Amino acid sequence: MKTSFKVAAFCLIVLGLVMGAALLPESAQAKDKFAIGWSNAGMGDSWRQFLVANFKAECAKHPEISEYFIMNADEKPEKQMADIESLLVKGIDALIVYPTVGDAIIPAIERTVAEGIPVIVFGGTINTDKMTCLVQQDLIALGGDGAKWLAEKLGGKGKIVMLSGIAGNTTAEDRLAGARKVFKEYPGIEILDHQYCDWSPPKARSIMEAMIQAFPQIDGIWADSGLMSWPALQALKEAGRPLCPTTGDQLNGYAKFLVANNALGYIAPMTTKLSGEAVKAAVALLKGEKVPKTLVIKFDGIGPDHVKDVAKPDLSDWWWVGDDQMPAEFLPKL
Amino acid sequence: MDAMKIISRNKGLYLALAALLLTAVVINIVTGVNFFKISNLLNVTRSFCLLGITSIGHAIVIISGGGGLDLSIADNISTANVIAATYMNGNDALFFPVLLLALAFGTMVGLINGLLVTKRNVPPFIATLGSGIVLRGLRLMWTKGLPQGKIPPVLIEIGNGSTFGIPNMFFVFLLIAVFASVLLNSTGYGRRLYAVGNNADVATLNGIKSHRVVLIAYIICGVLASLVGVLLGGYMGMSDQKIGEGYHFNSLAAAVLGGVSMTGGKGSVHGVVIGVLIMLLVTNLALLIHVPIQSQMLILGGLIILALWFNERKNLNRIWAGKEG
Repeated sequence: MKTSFKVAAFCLIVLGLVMGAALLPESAQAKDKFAIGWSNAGMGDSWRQFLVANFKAECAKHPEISEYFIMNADEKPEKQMADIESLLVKGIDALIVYPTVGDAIIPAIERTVAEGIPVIVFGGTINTDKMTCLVQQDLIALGGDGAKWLAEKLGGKGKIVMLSGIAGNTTAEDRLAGARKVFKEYPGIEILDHQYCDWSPPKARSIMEAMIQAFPQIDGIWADSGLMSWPALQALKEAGRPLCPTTGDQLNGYAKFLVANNALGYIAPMTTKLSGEAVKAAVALLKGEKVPKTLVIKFDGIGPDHVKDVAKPDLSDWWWVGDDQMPAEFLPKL
Repeated sequence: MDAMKIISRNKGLYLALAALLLTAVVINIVTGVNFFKISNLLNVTRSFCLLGITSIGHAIVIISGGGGLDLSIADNISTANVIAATYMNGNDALFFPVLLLALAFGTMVGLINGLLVTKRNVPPFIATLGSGIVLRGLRLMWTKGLPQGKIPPVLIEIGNGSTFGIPNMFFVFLLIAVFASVLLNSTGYGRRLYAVGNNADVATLNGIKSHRVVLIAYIICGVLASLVGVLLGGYMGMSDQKIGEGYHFNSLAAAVLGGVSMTGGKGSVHGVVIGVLIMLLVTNLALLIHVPIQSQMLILGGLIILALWFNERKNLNRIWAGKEG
């Protein structure tokens, strides 16, 4: 038993070292002028992998970027503060931030700006006007786009349920607010229920199963992500109920399900291309170009007629369709 | 008489269950929403089986005492789920060998947790939290965030199908519940587990290999968690990095609700099963009457605090009496 414990402990230590090495910031050397640092909130899912892929692909388009560093905060604000300090020590020329908890990292952001280093934030809002540029997708409009499609598809009349991500999370609340605003314009649309599903497919599935029991008729599902609308559709199929029109995002599993089951769906993409847009803004700022304080990027939704064009039946359910428009060398590896 | 003894010892639990079932009847009368509809019961049964199996494993670890806890359950489940999808890859012929692989993986996780706790005296909270984080990192490195593979039809049939109108998963759960109950109540290991949970030092002095008993508890928990990971793949028809999220907390909550003492040495499979039933009843009823998820958390949290208070008050009274003496 002593020997087996030593072997187990040795394996753990080796794995820990490998993990630590994997967590070191990535960097790429080239010959040019700017070093860009990106403090990323976390890397825990495939969406974040595409965020990184789009970042790297965009960096590759700019020969003026001599090197970049990516730090992963593992969703911890205190780690993100430390990551930003580490990036400053590396002598970066611009800082890109995808915030964990926006307001918690304000001191680090303001310190960076005070040192004359532009700070570009994307993927969340921070309550300070000291950052140089905020690159964002209009999430309220995004939620509204899906809602408008659904309302129009139902002819302005019908009973729907709404499924959101994490309660209190900006990206969930903004999209929900946008959707509710649109549905108010359609008095014939009745919202039977709204639940937060934490962007968890198993949770969404059990919540939808309960909704199916509670409501004999569900004409449509508004969801801010395919992570919920996909299992919701599965629950409907299991229950032998008609597959009503749904909204979601650009998750391949959702798109594949829609195509395979001839179901109507609208993809309102919560795009990972924002990281690339942040890189563009950083380069423009470093070149001395004028960049608006807030840069709102609009990405078009994908209606049911085009879902089959973007769905990738041979790829992972966790591929993010439409976000893969980059050279193959940057795509997340299968 | 044995049945009456069991009911009398767990009368609090049965009262709570009866109250909830009565609430379900009242809700049906007032709102027309029927908890007892077959289709709803089938849905609840599947969730019950998954949480039930996890909770039985977690309860065995808690009963072993010494602050026994397994916070790596969620990541164990998620990793086993990804292993299942990746290596089965939609092929029924690979179901059984890959199932064995996933269970071997769960055994290894339990072994590492158990060795850390027993041989290195790492507090279970720290040991299992750490192993869970390592698992998460390894899974991310392996999948790069993109779990591959496909769940085969035979596993989907186990996860979603029924035999004689009863969900197939229920038969798996029943097998495990009966096995665990026999293990705890009718075997030497079960007697030793409770003895160690009550007082490991006294158990050791009485010739019980306490470390081995605790190690086996963690292995059982690891194996059951990985089994749930595979079954979840069948139920959801997909693999997901985070499919196990929440199971470590929910299984702990169900065990506590079911009368398992956090100080060890007390608890039963039967109590855990009722604890799981209570949790799922509360959640399902709340959803059926559109109670927002935040309020559901309040209700569940309140129930857990009450259960802890009821379970532990005798221990606390004994401790306070000792201090005043």
